[in-house]
Amino acid sequence: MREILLSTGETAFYGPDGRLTEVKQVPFLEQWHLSELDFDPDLGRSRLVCVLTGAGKTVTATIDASDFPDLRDNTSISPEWNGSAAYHDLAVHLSVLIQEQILVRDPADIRTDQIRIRIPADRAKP
Amino acid sequence: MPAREHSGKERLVPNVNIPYREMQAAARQLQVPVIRLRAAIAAAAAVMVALSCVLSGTAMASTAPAGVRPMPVTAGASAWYVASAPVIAATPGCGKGANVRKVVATYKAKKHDAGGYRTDTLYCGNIRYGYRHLEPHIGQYFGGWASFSFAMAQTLKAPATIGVQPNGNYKETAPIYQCFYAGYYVIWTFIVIPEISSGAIVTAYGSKGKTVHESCP
Repeated sequence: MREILLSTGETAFYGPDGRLTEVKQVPFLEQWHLSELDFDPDLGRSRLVCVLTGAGKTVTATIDASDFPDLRDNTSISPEWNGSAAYHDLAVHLSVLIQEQILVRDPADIRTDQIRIRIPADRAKP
Repeated sequence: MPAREHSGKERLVPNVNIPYREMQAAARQLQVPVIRLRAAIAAAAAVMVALSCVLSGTAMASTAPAGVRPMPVTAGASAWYVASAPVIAATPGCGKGANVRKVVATYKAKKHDAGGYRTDTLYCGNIRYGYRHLEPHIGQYFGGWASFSFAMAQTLKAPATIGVQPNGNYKETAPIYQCFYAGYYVIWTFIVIPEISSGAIVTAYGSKGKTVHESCP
């Protein structure tokens, strides 16, 4: 998880005509910075705390193991949605959720200091 | 040029025999609120690459003044828009019981490290990926599923950026202009995250940006 968040990836930039204009390394966190990633001192391994800062804003993301009951002990890789060779399902899934729920947002637009990372309740089940 | 492939107005309203310009003019006379969706492959001032039209579901065709050709302005967006080929399904059809590997749509996607295009697939999926994962984001965007699918198609076909992520996904982005006849527009950044190895779409979402108080570029 930490490796994913602190990683950089090659990003290609395209101009209006579709031509490649630039290729550079872009951090996974983009405009955010990881200040802390650790288990909750009181709750232990049942809660992961991820503190992100950006543009003077600090957001604490909490990840409760109880919100991911089918993944918390799962070290497998589900090929239909986890295309990474190195990371298990929980790390990949959490990285996508953090991206959706925090990283995509402008720090100035986030009005809360605490965000609970979990699957939204209204997500449909097969 | 990719932009031209998406600018065929008739393709965007395939179920009616009203030319796009005539429809625009009629909408103005009706004072129907109209949202035009423009997708560009660069920043705000970039060249527009696509245009879609979604008419408000609140307008009534019967309000048309004499001489204006009636048109089904009450139609939902999905009736007005069929996403660019090779999309398979215009509506998701991922209700309870639908198989996780049911294909909702396929999209032509610009290759990252080579010329040409690949095919990305949106499956019904589950809470981890695919339509069932991204479904909540549709309501956070504008225009419903048809507009959302259109934005996905534009982003994948003509991205402004393609990033390679260590979690096995691409992150592809493109600006989308939400234009208003009142003379302003909103710039969204649309993001699609497909799995690199298979092209299965994990998620997609729009991020609302600034409002520009000028006519759409």
